[in-house]
Amino acid sequence: MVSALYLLSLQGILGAFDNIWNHELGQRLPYRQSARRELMLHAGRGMLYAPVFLSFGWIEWRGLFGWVFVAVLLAELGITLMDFVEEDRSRKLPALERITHAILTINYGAFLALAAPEILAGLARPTGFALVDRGWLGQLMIVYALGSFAFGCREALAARRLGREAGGGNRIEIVHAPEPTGRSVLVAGGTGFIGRALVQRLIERGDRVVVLSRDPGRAQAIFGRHALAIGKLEDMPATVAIDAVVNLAGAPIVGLPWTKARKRELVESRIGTTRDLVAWMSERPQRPEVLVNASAIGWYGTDDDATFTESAPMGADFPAILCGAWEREAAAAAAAGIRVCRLRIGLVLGREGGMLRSLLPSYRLGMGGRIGDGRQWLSWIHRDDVVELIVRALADPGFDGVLNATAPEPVRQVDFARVMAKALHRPALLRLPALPLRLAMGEMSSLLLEGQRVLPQRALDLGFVYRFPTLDRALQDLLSAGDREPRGRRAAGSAIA
Amino acid sequence: MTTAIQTAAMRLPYSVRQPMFRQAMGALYHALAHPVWEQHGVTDVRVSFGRCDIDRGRNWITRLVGWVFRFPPAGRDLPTRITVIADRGREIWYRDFGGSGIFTVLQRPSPTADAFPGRHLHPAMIVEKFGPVGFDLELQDEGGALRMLVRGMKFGPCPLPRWIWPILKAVETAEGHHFAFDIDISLPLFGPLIHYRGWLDTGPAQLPGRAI
Repeated sequence: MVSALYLLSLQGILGAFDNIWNHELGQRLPYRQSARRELMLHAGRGMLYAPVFLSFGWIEWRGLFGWVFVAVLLAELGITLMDFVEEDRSRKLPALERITHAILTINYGAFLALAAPEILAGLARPTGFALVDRGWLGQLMIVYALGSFAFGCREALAARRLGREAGGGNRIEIVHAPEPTGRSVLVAGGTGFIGRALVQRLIERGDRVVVLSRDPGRAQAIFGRHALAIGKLEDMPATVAIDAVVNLAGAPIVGLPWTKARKRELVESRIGTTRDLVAWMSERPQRPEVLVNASAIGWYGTDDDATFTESAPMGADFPAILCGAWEREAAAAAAAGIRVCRLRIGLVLGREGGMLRSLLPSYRLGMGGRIGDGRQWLSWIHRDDVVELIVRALADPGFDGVLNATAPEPVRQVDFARVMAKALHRPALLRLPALPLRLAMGEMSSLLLEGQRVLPQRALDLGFVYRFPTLDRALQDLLSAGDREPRGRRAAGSAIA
Repeated sequence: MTTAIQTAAMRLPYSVRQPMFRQAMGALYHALAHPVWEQHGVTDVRVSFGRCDIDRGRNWITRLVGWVFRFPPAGRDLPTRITVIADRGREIWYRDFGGSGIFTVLQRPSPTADAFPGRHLHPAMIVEKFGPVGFDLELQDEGGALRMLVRGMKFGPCPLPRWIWPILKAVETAEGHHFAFDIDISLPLFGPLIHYRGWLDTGPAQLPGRAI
């Protein structure tokens, strides 16, 4: 049985890797509408794995109880087979995930073969159970059981959330303005953290909105009849004349480490979409007037002391070259007579995502604090201000070329931690040294350990008024507004569909 | 504040960064046909689209080597996408032929490493790495076309004997306003390994140094 438990230990490690690396970070299954059934299967299997781990570590089931345990094992096998079918139906598995699944299957088969004699021997005994001592392997099985149960809960909750979205339960609430503007706006990446708020804002002010999304079903579930969701530009109805385009599409830069493959994904998700958009805009009989294209303050590289306005030179690290190429693709639209506004967006603070959502749990536990030496600059911006900048850029011809979309008062990380902890009435005593972060995250650790002090010179020159110019005000708004209704900038919209 | 802004201005301007092939080839670089130096003139990122044909070796040795290096299968008129990322002094090349892709990393040879006698006579050198296997390539201009010749091969830091080096016929040139490539790789004794040829549209020109 000890040999079998070694294999079960390996199963636990491989399963954790599969969940974290492949499902969470790589494929982002909990955020894919198309993965809802798969998540439900994973949740069921995770819940079954927990008692399996505990049983093999601590309990010997006998007689009828043993048959119940066999039924649990068979149910787990059935779910795994259904999962294979569902995975092949709903998505293309990357090579690493396919290999991981194959190894998991082989390993589990070997484990069952080794464990079978003891399980069968238990069936022949009188009904009951006995505690067994497996030593340190028993302790390990408790850890695996807890982990498996936690993953099961995580996936069940994600499936429930996706179900609500599909049923319209997560649909945004929109109050229409009395008069539509008559303007049509195409938003690429409209279901992301910024895109979703932007689409809502545009609809509420009376624009007709088309959302271009990799997952149009999810987009339609979120925006309902208020917007038209399409998966490809070719799906755009010929009768719809687009007046303006906002491009926010791109794989999230935070996530998997920046390996060669990941860098390629980050590049192609931005460059490919932008090039397609620009080509499509240039070929339209009635060309859109303006393209507002997202970029990021990573364009400037990082520096602890320098200040960057829009006239500063480009940086040399990977985020800089990524943003440089992205902006170049967008700038090509100017050749077709389209006004192009490139927004270099800072660290966006909002309740529903981005940096704040990642930080909040640790700060709420009083575990926030300095990262590295804490001197790195955080050029942040409230999500409402980013949305207003985009709305203004769509309408104001003065918003041309590059604009920094950051608040006028960037802060150092150590000051951010202090203000954040104060707003939550918690201490910020933790010190997170740089070395383990660099070892764990590699090049991507620069996002946490390095920063840049970026000022929105052009936005201020153009008279843009920030609702949240200081971090105090932004965090006060975001951290005290949990149950408040969304701010009403009530304006009308008309469904384009 | 003045000091800080000066610090920013002293950073290396984008416009003076040189593409790796420009560094390697010096004046010869400008003799290349326009689409060729544009494809190799990457200082940040370039994604290029085109089409290509691929032939693969048919004996089991060349098939095995092709599988190890994850070469794409044979095909005709395949949609092709080349992504080049200039990153920390090297170039990451991802070649996607009809959905099947390979990564290589191109970099300048280390100035101290000179395992191959006479290599210093050929300054226009780059190293192309397929995982742990690296090839020293000499770059030559031939009437506007770029020709590449194998001048060395290593596994990790270990030089490999000449008889094992692949036979490379690699020419990149202009075909109208397109970048055209014709890469034919064979193995000594075992014959053709892979032959891919096609063209790329090199995409929009790069921005000048200041973005406004």
